[in-house]
Amino acid sequence: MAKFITRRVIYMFITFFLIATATFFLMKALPGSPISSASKLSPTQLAIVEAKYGLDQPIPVQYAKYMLNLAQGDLGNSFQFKNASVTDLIIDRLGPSMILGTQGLVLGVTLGILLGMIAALRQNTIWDYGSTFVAIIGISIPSFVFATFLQYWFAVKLELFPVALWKDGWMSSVLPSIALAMGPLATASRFIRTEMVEVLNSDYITLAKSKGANGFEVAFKHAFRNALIPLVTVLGPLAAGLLTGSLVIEQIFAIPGIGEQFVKSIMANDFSIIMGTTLFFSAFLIVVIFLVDVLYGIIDPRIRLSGGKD
Amino acid sequence: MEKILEVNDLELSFHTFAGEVKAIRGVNFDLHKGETLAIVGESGSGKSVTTKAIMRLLPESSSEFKNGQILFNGKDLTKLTDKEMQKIRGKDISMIFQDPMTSLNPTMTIGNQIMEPILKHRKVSKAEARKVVIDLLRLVGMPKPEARIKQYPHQFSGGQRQRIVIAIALACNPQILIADEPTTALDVTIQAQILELMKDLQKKIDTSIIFITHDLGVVANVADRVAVMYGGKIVEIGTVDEIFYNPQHPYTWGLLSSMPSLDTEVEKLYAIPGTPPDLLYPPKGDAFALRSDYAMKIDLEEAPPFFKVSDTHSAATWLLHPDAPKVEPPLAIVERMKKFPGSRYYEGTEGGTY
Repeated sequence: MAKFITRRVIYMFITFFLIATATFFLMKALPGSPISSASKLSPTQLAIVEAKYGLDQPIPVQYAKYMLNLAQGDLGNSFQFKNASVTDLIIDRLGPSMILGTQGLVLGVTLGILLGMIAALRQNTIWDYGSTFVAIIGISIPSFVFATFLQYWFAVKLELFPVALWKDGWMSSVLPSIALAMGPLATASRFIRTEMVEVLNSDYITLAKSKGANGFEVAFKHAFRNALIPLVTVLGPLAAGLLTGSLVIEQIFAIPGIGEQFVKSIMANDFSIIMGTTLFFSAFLIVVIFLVDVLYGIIDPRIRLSGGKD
Repeated sequence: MEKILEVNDLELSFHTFAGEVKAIRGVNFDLHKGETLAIVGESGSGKSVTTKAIMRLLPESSSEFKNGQILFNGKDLTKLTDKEMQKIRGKDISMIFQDPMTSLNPTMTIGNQIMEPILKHRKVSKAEARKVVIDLLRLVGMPKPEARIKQYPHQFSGGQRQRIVIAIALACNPQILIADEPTTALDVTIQAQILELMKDLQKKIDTSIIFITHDLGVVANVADRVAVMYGGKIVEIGTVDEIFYNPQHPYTWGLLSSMPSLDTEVEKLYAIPGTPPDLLYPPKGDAFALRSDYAMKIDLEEAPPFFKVSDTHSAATWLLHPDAPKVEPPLAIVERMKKFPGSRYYEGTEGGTY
């Protein structure tokens, strides 16, 4: 296990390095610069500003400098937010996004597992069809449409929650979290239902029944863990989906999150924030995928992670 | 001998989209204490369904008991609630399955899997249960049981897994052990080992075994009595010797003739022509009539009752009716019958009775 983790951590750094490099050059290939839009500057002023930010140097030099700073944990300073450090900006914006993402994922996956279990255990009943219906809605309606509906019904009509305001603490996070949860909910419930139905028909479940296990033991002690395996596989992509999904949701609910900042930075050609946010998202995903792999091994002993050999 | 299980007129149907499939159409047999009863028959004859019905392991939503009783120690298993049945499964009646590669839970240590029925049915602590598990594994011939109980099924070979499944089945010293083709999925050398183990275990622990198989070689090896099933019914039942050396039903003749044997010189192995009946529309008379060379008019019209051949042997074929014409069984069968005292072809000194 230790060997596996060491190896994986090295791979993670390599992945991260490659993403950083690719993003850097792709961004430099974009037309425009953070300053070019400010047409009021005279050529002399422009040169001074460019020199200040090092934009006058050749791109490979800029790249080397950026990577050196990155290695020391310095993501540089923002162009648009009065020179504030990118790290500080991200940390400032991280809170709301993390709250939404975590709540959405936990709520969606938990409810999804629950719905899927009910559907599988009450196969071909009204429960099963109801769960399928919810899943189809969750998959086919985009989260931003769903978000608008939530706003209309629960915020405007019933006035239970704020429409789009990040000031009422937890109350403000309820509607966006629900909107975010719909995707994972649908995916999780479908995965669990399909897998549970298959597992419940497997030989080892018959054996468990032949030992005298009751319905509860069969479903939770024997079937559940085996049915979880495929769901764990998609947890990584699901978490990724929440991150990208949150870009839109944060706009709709006016949440000062990292996604909203990301969109604004792209509009303003703010290199350092685009880089910083992309790298942050990547790091997050790499870590999530790593955790999922570890989790995979914990759930399924056949995939116990060793460094190649035991 | 004491009867431990009595199956009377058992009829069971499956409800499918195509209609009602009459999988078991009136099955009668007894199981005595300490004996091994083999149920043989081809795929779809209802042998597995019969045993799954005894264990009540068939899906409640699609299967239905139409008639009959399964009396176990005086209790009718078909009438028990699910809760009552859970107390019997794994404790009084337990089961060994066909494919050891898929019948163990891949995400649970084998120690826990064997321990489960012990903790469930016996009043013991976990530490005591662990000792029982180690003893059981030793009993089924697993080396280093102390170390292996912490391992998962994928770390064992097929033969070892079947030993584990057997250990699970024996965990609570069941009165009846149902073995549903326990050696079919194993290769021949392992098959022999597992059969040896089962015979050995039966001597050690006093349990009755129902052994389902389509391998007549295995039957000869393990069984005391044999029931031949065809089309959801038992067509012939008797002791091993009676079935092998004095078979009466044309289907049994067919089965025995299609078994490769070392002392026949024929080059081509016999195969029963045709296919088993579709139990969605079960035939009116003898289910085997359409495939049989010995079918008579009445076979197509009325199902034959059981005719007694001896106290232990009976067969459901009109050929045994006093008015039926005397027919000559296939040559290979006549050869067999020559060795059986009591058969009409017996060539021994005691003399045949016919």
